[in-house]
Amino acid sequence: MSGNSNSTDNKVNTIRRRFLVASTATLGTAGIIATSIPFLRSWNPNARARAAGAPVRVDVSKIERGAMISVGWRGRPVYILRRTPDQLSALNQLNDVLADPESLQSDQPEYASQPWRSSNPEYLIVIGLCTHLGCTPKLRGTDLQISQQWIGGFFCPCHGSLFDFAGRVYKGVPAPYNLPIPPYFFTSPTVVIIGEDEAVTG
Amino acid sequence: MTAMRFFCPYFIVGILGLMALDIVAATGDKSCGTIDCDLIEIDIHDKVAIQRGAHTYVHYCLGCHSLRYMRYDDIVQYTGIDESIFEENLILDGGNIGDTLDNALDQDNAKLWFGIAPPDLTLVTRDHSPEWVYTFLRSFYIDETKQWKVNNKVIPNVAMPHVLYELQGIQQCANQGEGQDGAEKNDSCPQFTLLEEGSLQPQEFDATIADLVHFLVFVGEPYRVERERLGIYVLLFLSIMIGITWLLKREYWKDIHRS
Amino acid sequence: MKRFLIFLRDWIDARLPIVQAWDTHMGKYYAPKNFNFWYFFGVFSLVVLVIQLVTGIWLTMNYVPSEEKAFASIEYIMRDVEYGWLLRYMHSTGASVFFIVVYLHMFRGLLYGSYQKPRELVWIIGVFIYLLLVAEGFLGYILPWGQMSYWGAQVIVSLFGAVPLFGDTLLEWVRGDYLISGITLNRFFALHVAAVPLLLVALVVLHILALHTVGSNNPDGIEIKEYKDQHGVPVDGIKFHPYYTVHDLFGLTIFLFFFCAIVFFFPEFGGYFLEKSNFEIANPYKTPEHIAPVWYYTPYYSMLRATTITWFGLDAKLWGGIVMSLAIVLLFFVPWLDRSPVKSIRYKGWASRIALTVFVICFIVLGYLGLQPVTEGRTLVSQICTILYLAFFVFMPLYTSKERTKPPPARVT
Repeated sequence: MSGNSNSTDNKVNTIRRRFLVASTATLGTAGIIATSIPFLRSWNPNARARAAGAPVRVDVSKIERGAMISVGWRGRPVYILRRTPDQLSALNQLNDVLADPESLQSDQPEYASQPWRSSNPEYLIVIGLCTHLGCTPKLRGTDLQISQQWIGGFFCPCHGSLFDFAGRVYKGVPAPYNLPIPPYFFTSPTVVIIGEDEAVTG
Repeated sequence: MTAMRFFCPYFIVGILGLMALDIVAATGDKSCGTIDCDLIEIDIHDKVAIQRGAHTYVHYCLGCHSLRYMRYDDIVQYTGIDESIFEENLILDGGNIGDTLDNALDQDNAKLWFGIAPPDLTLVTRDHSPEWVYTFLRSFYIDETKQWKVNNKVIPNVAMPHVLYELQGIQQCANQGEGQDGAEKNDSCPQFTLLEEGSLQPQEFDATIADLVHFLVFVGEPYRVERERLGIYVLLFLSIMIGITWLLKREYWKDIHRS
Repeated sequence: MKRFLIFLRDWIDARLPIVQAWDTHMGKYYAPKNFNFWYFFGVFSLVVLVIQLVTGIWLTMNYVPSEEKAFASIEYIMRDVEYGWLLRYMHSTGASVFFIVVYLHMFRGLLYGSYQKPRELVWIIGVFIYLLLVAEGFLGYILPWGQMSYWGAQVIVSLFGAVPLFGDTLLEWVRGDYLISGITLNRFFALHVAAVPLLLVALVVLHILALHTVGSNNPDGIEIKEYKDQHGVPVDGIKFHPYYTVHDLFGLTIFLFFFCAIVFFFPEFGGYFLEKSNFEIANPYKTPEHIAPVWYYTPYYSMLRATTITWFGLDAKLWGGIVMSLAIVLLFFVPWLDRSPVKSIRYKGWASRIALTVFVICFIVLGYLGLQPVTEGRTLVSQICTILYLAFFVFMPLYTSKERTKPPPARVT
C-alpha cells in the first residue's frame, strides 16, 4: 500500500484524517470520562450509610439537671448536658483561662456560637471527641484536682485536656480547639433532632 | 463455499424451528401452578398505582412479609409522595425514612404458626413473575379441610391464610364436590363463584391487586426507570461513535484499497 | 511540552524497550489485509476481559462473601450503592457476553484452521484460557448465593464424588464441608477474584505474544509471510496500527452498542443471563423444580445428563464426567487431528464442511437441550448429538486427509 503513491487521486486527505482522529479522540475521551462517573460515584456514602448517618431524635426531658447523656450519631458520641444555672453562670468567669472563649477557631453552627454555645442555654450538645487525638472526654466536677482554674467540665483522660461546661478548651492543654458542635434543632422544648439544621420552610 | 453459504441459513432456521416445536410439544406445565397465569400489564411509570400498592402492602402484607432490601426512602423518591404524609401513613412501626421495610415477625414463631416462615418478598416478581403474583392473590378459594380454611390454585395446599378476604370476600369452586381429594378438586375447578361478598366489587379487587403488583414490580428493581433513562443516552452516544469511527476507518482504509 | 514527551519516551525506552514493543505489537505488526467479520471477536474478548476485571474489582468493594450476607450484599449493591446496579449488570452481562464472543472466536479458529502449524501453541494457550474461563464463570456463579448458585454448585461439585476410590474424600475437600456452605463460598470467592483472574490475564498475554510471533492467520489460511517486498514487509500485510486499530475501534463501538443495550434494557435477557431462580436466596432444603446451569455450560451439561452407559462397572455419573471432560480436552489435540493440506474451510472438501456444520448444530442443540427439562426423546437427541460432537474430533484425521481439497491461492483474495 506504500506503492504507487504518485498518482493524484492517491493523495491522502490529511485534514480530513486529522479531523476524524481528533473527533474520535475527543468523543472517546468524553465517553471514558462519562463511564468513570458511575465507578467514582459508587464510592459516595450510600443509602445504608446515609440511613445509619440519618439525624437522631432525642427526648431530653428525662435528663436531670447537671447530668449528661451520650447518643450515637454517625458513629460518634454526641453529649447532651443539661446545665444547672450555676454551671451556666460560671461560664462567664473563665475568659482568661480559655484558649478560645469566643469560639472563633472551632467548629459549630451559627446558632451555637455564643459563649454558652447552644441554641437553648440549658442544653449543651457537643460531639464528645477530644480535638487532640479523639478520645472521649469525661464529665467531671471539682473533685478532679487538676488545676487552680478548674471549676468542672469535660476532662480527657488520655492526655489531660480540659474543657468547660460549654466544651471550650482551657489554655495550656494538648487539645487545640473547642469541642465541635453538630447541627441540631429542637422540634419541641424537650425533643431535639441531632444531625440536621432546622429546615427553612416557607 | 457458495453452497455452504446458501445452506447455512436454512440449517439454522431449521434448528430454531425444531427447538420451537420442541417447546410447544413439551409444554404440559401450567405457568401458574395448576392453572395458567392471568395476564397483567405493568406500567412502571404509573406512580399513583405504585403508591396505592404500597398502601395495600404496608397495611395487609408487611406484618408477615418483609421487604428487607427495600428502603422507604426509595419509594418516596420515586413516587414523589410527600415525606411527612408518607411517614404518617406508611411507616407504621415509627421507623425512619431511611429504614428498610422490615418487620418484627419472629421467624421461629412464624414457622410454628404457618409451617414455614413467610418469605421476604422484595424480589418475588423477579423470582416468579408479575403475572404469577397477580394470579396467586386472586386464586384463593374456600376449602374446609385446610388449616386456614382456604386453598390456592397457584400454590396448592398453601400455608398462607387469605389475608385479603375482607376485600375480596370468599370464593368457591364453581362445581365443587365432584372430585374426591384435593388434587382432583383443583382440576375440576375451572371457575370461581363468590360465596360471600367482600367490601370491594370484583373489578375493584382486581384493580387493587394490580396496584399491589405494580408496587412489587417497582420494589423488585427500584432503579429500573433510571436504568432505562440512562440507557437511552448511552445508546445515542454510541450511535454517534459508530458513525465517526466508521468514517475514520473508511478514511484510513482508502490507503489499502488504493494499492 | 512535545520535547518533554519525547525526552520522557527516550528516557523510558533506554531502560525499557517500549518503542520496540509498540512496533512489534502495533506499529509494525503486519496483519493480513483480508480479515473478515469473524476476526473481531478476539478484540471483543479482550475488551470484555477488561470490563469484567474493572467491574469485578468494584463489586468486590461491596460484596460480602458469607453465607449470611452474600445474597443481601448483592441486593445492597443493586439498591443502596450509587450506580451499583450498573456495575452489577455490566458484570453479569459481561459474563454471558464473554462466552458468546469466545465461542465465536473459537469457531473462527476451527473455520479457518488457525490452530494449524505454526499456530498450535496459540491454539493450546487459547484452550487453556477457555478452560480457565469456564472455571471462572462457575466460581463466580456461586457468589450471588441464590438458589441456582447453590444448586448449580451442588450438582457440578458432586461430580468430584464420581472419581473412583477417593471420590468422597475429594468431594469433602473441595467443599470444605459436608454440603455446599459458606466455607465453600469463601474459597470460591478467593479463587474467583484473585487466583483465576491472575492466571487468565497471564495466559491472555502469552496468547497474544505467541500470536504475534507466528503472525495472524486469515480467511484464506495462507501465510502472508511468503510474499514480501524489498523491505521485508509482507505484501498482503497491513500495519496493525493504524489500519486494524481504526477497523477494530469501529467494530468495538458496534459491539458496545449491543452490550449496553443488554445492560440497560435487558439485563436478565429473558432469564438466560440472570436466571429467575437466582432471585431467591439459597436454600439447602429445597431444590428448585427445574435446575439448569447458565446457558454457556448447557452443552456439557446435556452431555452429562445424556450419558447413561455403565461400561467396565463404572457408574454413569463417572462416564458423564469423562465425556464432559473429553469434550473440552479433545480441543487441545485439534492441531494434530486435522491432517488437511489446507487450513481454511474455503479450500477444504465437503466432508470437512459437513463435519463442522454438524458439529456446530450439535453444540447448539446440546446447549438448548441442557436448558430444558429431560424427556425420553430429548435424551435420545442429546445422546446422538454427543456422539456426533465427539465424532467430529475422533474422525477428523480421517475425513481431513481423505477428502479432495481445492488448491489455495498464492495471495490472499
